[in-house]
Amino acid sequence: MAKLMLVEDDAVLVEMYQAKFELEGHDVTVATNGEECLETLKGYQPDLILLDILMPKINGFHVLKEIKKQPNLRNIPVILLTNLGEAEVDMNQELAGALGVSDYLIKSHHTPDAVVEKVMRALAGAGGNL
Amino acid sequence: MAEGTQPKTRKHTSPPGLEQILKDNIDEAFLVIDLGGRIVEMNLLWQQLFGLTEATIGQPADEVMVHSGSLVFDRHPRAFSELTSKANVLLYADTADGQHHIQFSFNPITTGTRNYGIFCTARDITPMVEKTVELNEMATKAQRHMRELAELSDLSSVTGFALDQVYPEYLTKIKLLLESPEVSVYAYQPARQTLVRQASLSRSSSHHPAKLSVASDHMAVRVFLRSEVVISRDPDAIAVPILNNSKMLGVIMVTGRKQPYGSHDSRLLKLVATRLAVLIENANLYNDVNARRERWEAVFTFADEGIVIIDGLGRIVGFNPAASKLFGFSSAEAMGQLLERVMKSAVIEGLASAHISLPLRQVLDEGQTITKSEHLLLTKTGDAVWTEISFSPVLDGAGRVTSAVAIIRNAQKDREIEEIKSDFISIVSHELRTPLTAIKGFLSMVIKKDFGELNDKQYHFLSRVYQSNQRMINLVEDLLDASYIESGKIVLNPRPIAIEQIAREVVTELASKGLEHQIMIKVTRRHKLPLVLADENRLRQILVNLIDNAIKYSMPESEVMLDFKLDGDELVTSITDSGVGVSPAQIDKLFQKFGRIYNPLSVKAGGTGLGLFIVKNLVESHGGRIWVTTREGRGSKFSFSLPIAKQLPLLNH
Repeated sequence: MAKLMLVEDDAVLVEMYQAKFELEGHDVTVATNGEECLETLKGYQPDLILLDILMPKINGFHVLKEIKKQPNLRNIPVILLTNLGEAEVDMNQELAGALGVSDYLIKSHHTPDAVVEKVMRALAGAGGNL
Repeated sequence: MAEGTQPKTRKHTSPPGLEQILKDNIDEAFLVIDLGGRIVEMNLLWQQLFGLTEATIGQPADEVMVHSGSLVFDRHPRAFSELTSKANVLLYADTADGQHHIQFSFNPITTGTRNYGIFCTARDITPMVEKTVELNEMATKAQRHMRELAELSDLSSVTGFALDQVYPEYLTKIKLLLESPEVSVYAYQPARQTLVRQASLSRSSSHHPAKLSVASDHMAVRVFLRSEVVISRDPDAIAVPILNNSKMLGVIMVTGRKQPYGSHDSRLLKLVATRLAVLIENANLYNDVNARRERWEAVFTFADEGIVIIDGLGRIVGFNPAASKLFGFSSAEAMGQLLERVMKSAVIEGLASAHISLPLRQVLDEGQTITKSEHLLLTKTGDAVWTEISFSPVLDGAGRVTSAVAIIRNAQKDREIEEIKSDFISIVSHELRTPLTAIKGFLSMVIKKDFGELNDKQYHFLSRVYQSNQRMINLVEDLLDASYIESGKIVLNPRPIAIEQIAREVVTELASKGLEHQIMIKVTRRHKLPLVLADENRLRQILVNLIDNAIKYSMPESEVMLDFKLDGDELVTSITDSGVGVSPAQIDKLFQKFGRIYNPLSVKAGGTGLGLFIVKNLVESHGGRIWVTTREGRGSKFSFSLPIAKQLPLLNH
């Protein structure tokens, strides 16, 4: 069982991912925007963060930069989840790579099963590193 | 009787000794008449001159000389005898045949107060008279030539490009020079194959018609066709061609003189025509140039694009109204200023330097043409406006750059539209994908029975919903890709890739779909393949599209083959099916947007009609090519090339 943090502003998608991860036996903490996410992280250390990019208030990249600034959060694997277009993804990929994300997924391309698989792979990688 | 009177008269009238003195010393013909008017003496010369004999001596001089009709006097004297009292009288006469001119000189013969009679001498002055006449004629001719020269030199002062003012002056001159009242100038109009009267001093419509087809039978037409002078009689007329460097421009037609025209007239008229030809040619050139200039001025003035002309030193020498409107400077404010003083670059953070400095030096110094260079410029009021500028050098005859022209388009709207379009794509992408993701996600969990059993019907139907949703997702992806391609936003991250491995992964992914249609997918390769330089995701997309198409358009129980071939520094991948194929007429449409060809299989196959358009653009973005060989009903072979990654040993870990 892993402690996952899901940062996602769309309530339906939150429900979907939450249902799947909980079914797989994981503990899911949800934040519906960047601000809430950073606030929650002050008192909570998840094993992995699933981070949406396009969100109201603070966007995913900004959140990611903040996480990487903090020594206690820096090593938490982050998987970016987005429905941005490929061109934006291509442009952001470099930035994401530079910021050290574990994976970069387009939501509509992946079933929740596939996302779980990516999460497990990232956790395994992070565990190896730790 | 004459013999009898002769000595008697001599005795009575001659002073003593005079007779012999005269006869011996005067080498002129002479005649002596007594006071009674009778001939007293004549010498041999007189007799010879007038065909007389000694027999006439003693006869009345008037009868012999005046009334015989052998002479025609210019001033008829009633009688020689009347001239006795007058000293030094001169008379002139022509012989009846007109061959000789004679001068008579009369002097009274006196001694003291006594008058004896008249002494008359006669001289044949024919040569003198002829000389005089000749001299007079020469003087007249010289005078005429002087006048002609003066008229001709007057013509050289007739200049200008307004032919309607030139023609009347020429007509008047020709009228004077040829002393002819009817003069017309015709110009040839090639478009209508017609000689058209430009100006005329004539009212005769038969000799000087307003228009003459070159097919008509008229003297002016003959002159035009033969390029030479024609002189005609009855009625008298002369016409000369107007020629400039053997180019026929028209004809001058002259009629109405009483005397016939000759070679002198021809020479004069030719001189005039030559002069006129130069004027006409110059006027035509001027009008041409003028018309061209006016057209360009209209373009300059009314163009929607700003047009700025810059001299060799970079100063503005032309600034059209559109440029004024764009930048807020009036033409007067801009003229003479350096270009960069008027078209100032706006410097904002993140703006590429290519957008800042105007490439004027490249144009003026190197003669480069710059097309559609994008610049953010400041208007007079300090607003920044996106512009698209094309620079072109202006060259002189020797190929040197003398100045430059800048065509400036306001691209602000384009920029804004581009941004809106880009925003729109992002929004559509995000807003469509999010609900599709939810449908896909929930369905996948239900179908996987994560939350409980389904009966067969439920399972079957939900699977159909899942497939339909997936089609919708694919459609959105294709639309997004096409939009990115059109706005040039495809970003590739090429790296050396083992294409065969990717191809085998794609084939594995699609194998089950192949099996549904009883189609086998086979990958063959004969040699070890080099790595290609490609974006992995895009390469995968290309292969999925082409293999998926091959499956969709194949007949059941057939094969789809993948093979690879080295071609220079490219690797060619081919996907062959034995499906429906494409007719030659439809091949061109294949790679176009929404170029899907409708046949029974394609309807069944579904799809957006964007797949091959996207594939073609992706392949070309990689620097490759894509082509198809196909036979309708027999199958197709789609091939695409990709560049081989150069540093093989280093990257082939």
